[in-house]
Amino acid sequence: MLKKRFVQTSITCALLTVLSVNLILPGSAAIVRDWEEGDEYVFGMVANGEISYTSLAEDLSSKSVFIDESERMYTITEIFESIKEVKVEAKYDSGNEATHTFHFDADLISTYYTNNFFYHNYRWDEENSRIILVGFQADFGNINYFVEPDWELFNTNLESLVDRTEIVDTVTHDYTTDEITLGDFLDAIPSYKIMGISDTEQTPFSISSSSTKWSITFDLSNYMYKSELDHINYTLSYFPYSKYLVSIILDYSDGGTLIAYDSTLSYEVTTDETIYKGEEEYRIRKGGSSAIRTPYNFIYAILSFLIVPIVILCNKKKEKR
Amino acid sequence: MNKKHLTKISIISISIILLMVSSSFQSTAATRDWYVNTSAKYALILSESEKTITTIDALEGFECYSEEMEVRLDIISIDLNIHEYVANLTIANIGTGDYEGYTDAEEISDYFGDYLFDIDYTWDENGNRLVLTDFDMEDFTLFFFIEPDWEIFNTNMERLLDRTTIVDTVTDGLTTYEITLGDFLDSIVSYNIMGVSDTVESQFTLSNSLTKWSFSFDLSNVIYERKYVDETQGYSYFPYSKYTVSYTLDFTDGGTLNLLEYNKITEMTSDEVVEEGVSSVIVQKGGFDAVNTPFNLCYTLLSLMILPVLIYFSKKKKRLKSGVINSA
Repeated sequence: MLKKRFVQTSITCALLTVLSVNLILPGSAAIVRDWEEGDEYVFGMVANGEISYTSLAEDLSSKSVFIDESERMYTITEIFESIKEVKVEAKYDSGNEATHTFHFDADLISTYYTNNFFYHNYRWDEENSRIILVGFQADFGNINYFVEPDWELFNTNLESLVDRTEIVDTVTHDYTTDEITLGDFLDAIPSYKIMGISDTEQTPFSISSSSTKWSITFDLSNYMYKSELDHINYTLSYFPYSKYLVSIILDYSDGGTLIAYDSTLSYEVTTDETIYKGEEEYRIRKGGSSAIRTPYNFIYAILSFLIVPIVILCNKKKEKR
Repeated sequence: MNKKHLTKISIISISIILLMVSSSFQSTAATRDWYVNTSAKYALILSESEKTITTIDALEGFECYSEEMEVRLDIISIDLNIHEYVANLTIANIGTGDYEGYTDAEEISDYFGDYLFDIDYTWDENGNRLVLTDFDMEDFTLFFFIEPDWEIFNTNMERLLDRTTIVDTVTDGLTTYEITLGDFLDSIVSYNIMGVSDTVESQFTLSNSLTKWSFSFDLSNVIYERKYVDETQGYSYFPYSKYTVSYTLDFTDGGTLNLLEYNKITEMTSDEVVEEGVSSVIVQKGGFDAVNTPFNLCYTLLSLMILPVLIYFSKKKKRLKSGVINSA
């Protein structure tokens, strides 16, 4: 037993040593920005969507497709240290040019990301006397391209994303108000992964203070409902999504430059009359459109961050047995 | 000259005969093929896409929107006195609603005769010249069922080919210029109207039994994009290196819409950007199964457009894969 434990600890240590080659570990010297005045960056952006409708009663179908790919070049012209803002000259694929000023304050940005991440809409289903989820969104909102690499502060703020006591919505019915917490939500849905870990019920979740890459996925299949209004009787009907998958990935360089952002949604629901299928994605890549078209292997990118907590978690679970 | 003229007339005659193969020989006696309880399914496919790439930094953009839907019309009543019908219109994700359609051959063809072409000229102050700045056939008012009076229909459609029709008037402040259809046709690269590509020497007439009309125009390097330039506080004109428009309207002998197909392909280079555009409309009887154009239009267009752009710019500029072009 001791030998096995020793081997496991040794592996963990070895991994940490390897990882430290391209990571700066907490407690080491402050990470230096890798973006500075005069730098030029090209970012690619794509918003794609495809929604199809197939009538169950009629031999009819429809499909909407949209693709919006764009590139922008940012040249950093000035950095205002006192107010933590960075000024960039922007050029767009349309030929237009503009000047922008962005915040780079790690505290401000991570607080914004955290506060805007979740949207839950629960509703009282009169017919079945139950609370159901009819609206859900998870994304970081407006993404910042340059961040002060104070990852300890950044990750401390992001940790509140996974605060299980957080009230995500309230529903009032029959003179009663129900409060739904993030914990209620997480425990009810089929599965989720936050930084690769799918169970936060027994251990308070913590994000490594040196993380610069975050991944969150939710499977809300058969938990999320589509509501439809009957325009004749003005009654609502609810239909469970047989598939509802949400995935978010945010990836910065150690020095605080945005490398990638992915937000994807895939769903399918069958109502009385129609089968709806949808695929939506929003991606940003440093490197432009060519980088967007290159498959991004985030699993590889965050492997370094997953190994340590997974080993620790495994140890804890074994100890409980 | 007489021989040449004879040859041309023969070619026109053959073309018309060929067209008549799919049309009714009974110029005035065609009978309706749509009635109460007639049910017809159509595919409606609309797509717009634009690819841009800046001339200096090679920044790329691509936008595409494609709407593909099947609709079914079930005629529930027809009133020929007022030339109208009412149908149930069913769409997959929307449901069923009433649709009122107009059927008068004379009114509809009169409408096409007046509005099918949209031609705009502008006076270029700097170049001291008239410039063609817009041409399109973007009228997609849908007439699914028409009373099949093809003689009157074709008489009105013939107006589209009247070379003396004034298509636009432009004033430079002192003089007013009247541009005729003939001026327009003579100035463009090529055109094909109902299989005929030259109306200069012969007055064009349509067979009075036609039920299918097709048009195509090549205006490459003739039509210009008009852009406001901040620096000069004036307009600059950039020629489209490619600008083609095609339009087909096809009915059954009995007056049921078979096909409406429109395509516009453009390419233009201004000081800052190369723009390529594709617009397409297809209304096809029979639904998606009857459409020959490949689906997933956006993805098809994207792949068609990327290749030439890549070839063009791979010679022009190379960027570092990291995205950082120049680190201080």
